[in-house]
Amino acid sequence: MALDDTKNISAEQRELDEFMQQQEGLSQLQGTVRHLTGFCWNQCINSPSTPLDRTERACLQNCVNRFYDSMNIVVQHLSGSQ
Amino acid sequence: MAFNLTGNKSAELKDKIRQELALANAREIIQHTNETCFKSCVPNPGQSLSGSETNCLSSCVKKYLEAWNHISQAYVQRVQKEEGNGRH
Repeated sequence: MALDDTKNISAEQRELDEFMQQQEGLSQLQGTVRHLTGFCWNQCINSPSTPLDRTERACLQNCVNRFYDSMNIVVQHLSGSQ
Repeated sequence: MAFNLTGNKSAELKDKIRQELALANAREIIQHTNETCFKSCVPNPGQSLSGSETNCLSSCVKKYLEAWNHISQAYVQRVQKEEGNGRH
């Protein structure tokens, strides 16, 4: 009985740990998106009050992807592998 | 029996954590949006917001959230693509 409880608790615990890791990952992703929004907004948006147009949309998309490319290069250099 | 009880508690806890996380994210987005739009629309803060400042803020908030949504999609797409490339 006591053994069964311990087993259940640890299974539950493991599942909770996994859940917390997922949430932590989600939280990081949300943080990156928030940061990128501010960053790419400054790069791409000239007038804040006109509707988001096609050029701005394309710029935002490029900004995200080039930021990611650039991040890959930075990480490559810092980790010493070329 | 004991497992079910723990299971309910665990589901409650998870819901609570999800809610807190969503709330924290929303708070941050609201603050970023306000800072960005305030800077653009209210260059010289007066006694009260003028009609044009209010209009500018409304359009800016809409645009900022649209941009956030667009970037969210683009970033998730890129992450998924990179993960796909990583697993040869």
